[in-house]
Amino acid sequence: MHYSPPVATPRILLVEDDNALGTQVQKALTAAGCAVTWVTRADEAQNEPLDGLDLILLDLMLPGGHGFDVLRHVRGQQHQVPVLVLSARSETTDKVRALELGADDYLTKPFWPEELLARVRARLRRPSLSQAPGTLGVGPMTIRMDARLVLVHDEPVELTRVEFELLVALARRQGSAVSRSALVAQALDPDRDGDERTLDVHISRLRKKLGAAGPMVATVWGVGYRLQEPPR
Amino acid sequence: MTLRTRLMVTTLAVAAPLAAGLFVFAEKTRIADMQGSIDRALEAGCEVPQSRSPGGPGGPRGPQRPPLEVHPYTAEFLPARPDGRGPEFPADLREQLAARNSASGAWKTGEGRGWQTAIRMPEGSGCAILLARMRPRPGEFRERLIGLSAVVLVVILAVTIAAGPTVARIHRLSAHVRATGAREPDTPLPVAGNDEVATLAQALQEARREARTHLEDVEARERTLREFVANTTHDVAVPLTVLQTHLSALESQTLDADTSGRVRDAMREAHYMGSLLRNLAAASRLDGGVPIDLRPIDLAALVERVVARHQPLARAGGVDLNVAVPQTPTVVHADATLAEQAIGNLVDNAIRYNRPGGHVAVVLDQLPATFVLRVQDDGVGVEAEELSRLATRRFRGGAARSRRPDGQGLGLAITSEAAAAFSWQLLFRHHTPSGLVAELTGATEVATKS
Repeated sequence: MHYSPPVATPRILLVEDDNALGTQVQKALTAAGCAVTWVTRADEAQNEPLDGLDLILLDLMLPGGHGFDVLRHVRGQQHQVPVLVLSARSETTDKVRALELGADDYLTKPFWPEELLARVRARLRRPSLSQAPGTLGVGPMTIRMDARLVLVHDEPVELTRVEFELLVALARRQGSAVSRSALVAQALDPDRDGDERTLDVHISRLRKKLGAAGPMVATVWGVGYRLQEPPR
Repeated sequence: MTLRTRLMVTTLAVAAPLAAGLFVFAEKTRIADMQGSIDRALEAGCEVPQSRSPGGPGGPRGPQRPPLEVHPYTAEFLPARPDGRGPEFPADLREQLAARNSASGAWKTGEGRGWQTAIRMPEGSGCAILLARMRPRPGEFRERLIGLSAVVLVVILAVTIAAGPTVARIHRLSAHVRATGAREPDTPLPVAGNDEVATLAQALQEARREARTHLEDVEARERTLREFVANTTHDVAVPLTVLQTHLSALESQTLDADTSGRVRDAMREAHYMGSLLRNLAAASRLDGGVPIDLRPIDLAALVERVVARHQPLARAGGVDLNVAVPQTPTVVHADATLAEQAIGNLVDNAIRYNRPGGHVAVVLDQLPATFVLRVQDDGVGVEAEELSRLATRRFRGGAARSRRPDGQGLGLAITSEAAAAFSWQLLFRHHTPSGLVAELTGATEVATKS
């Protein structure tokens, strides 16, 4: 296994034969802080060294071979670098085949650059997801799971069991909205703590107890709540 | 009705009247025979014993009562035997004798229909009127009826048995055509000969060849169309991605209000073109008759991808788009491309028919063995009477028509058709105070896995 966790400047191999698209994707990735090596042919891609790469963005319809050939070459070397396929074909079979050959994800053209960047970031940070952190930190707030302790600006905050579970459920997905039903399922015991109707009361108390960090628990219309870092 | 049953019914319809005619003929013959016996008895005159039997071969055998009776009567129709005994003279014969010298008619007896004749006797014969009558042989009527019925049944049975080989050939032909269908019209048919069944088989063979030719033409056209759509999608998708990248770069720059508005409009149009392209490909697949391969996919990841794809459109429209999915995979059986487009159309619809400052919420909940995906907006919504028709192809609600009169009305119909292909349920309802809620529900594979 040659794959190593991403470093500060992720190295990406872009395999795309369309000049205009390749240029734009390279610009977007470079602007996002990635080091991009761009090749336009399948055979060129197969000659590229794989060691040190953090991600391969692979088009399928290429001169000098097919994207599947590149995929076979990469996986044939037992290399675990993530491969994100950029497909312009609407057929599912191409995607299924790519996944079967070892691709990690696919993105169908046309796509927005921010969609691509989101997928790239998701692939780059994936290895770290398997680490189970004992501490969650969001802005001025630190949650120590083992001690069931919450610190805001290093000051402990006294929370009930339900409030702590709600905060943990939100902190585990910090920056993302969590639905009301998911919060109820994860934090509330229906026999003791009430149901979805009492959720707002628990959240209101949690915000008050968090003090300055209270506004970090934001209401998300139609969804539920989100724990977000305070604006800088 | 099977051919065999139809033959039996037809045979019965023909044989029953024939049997009835035969029965009438036999009855007339029987009455003529009885009349002969009666005539011979009458020739003996008024001096008659208590009873006479016609005797001879073929006559009634061993009846308890004599089959033939002869009774003398006076001119006043009273019994003329010395002991004064005798049956009452039949009233119908009495009326006939008023005009003629002889009269005949049926005699109803316990054994069935007999026959009787009365004649006026010359003076000095010892009686004025002589009545002779003959009863049928006991059981004779029933025997004839049973005999005829047996003949009819034997005829029906014979016809049915005779039709057996023909029916069997037709069955073989049907089974063969069903088994091979229109795709193998060159397979020899299991029916030989030069009769009507063989002619029918030949006609079927020719029809199958024509059907296959037609089918191949249709399939070839569909293949060509699908390839055309796939190639067009491919050819348009690349430059459209470049266009979207340029627009995205422009959007991130500091622009004056007018230019910024134009960029946002262009982004919306570019997104719409992309959506049309994907819907065209989806419609081509759904209409193509090619079976949809259902595979396990993570719906949570797919929903996040769809929302990420629509963030630029939401931003361009000033709409707040949020998503919440379970932290663990929600595995469903679906076609990833169609599922992505089906959900994308719901999100697209919620953003497009919204207003600046409006909201769209996309929430996926994992329940035991099922998922619920809710796409909710506080936009313009639809009229109450339009709710049930939202997922109909080419149907476009009032808001849709006024905002994009050139649209195809494909999006929600594709969502509905794709959902049906995955055995998901799609439901629309109003959102209070304004907007629409679209809800997709379906089965998940085992519980979620981390």
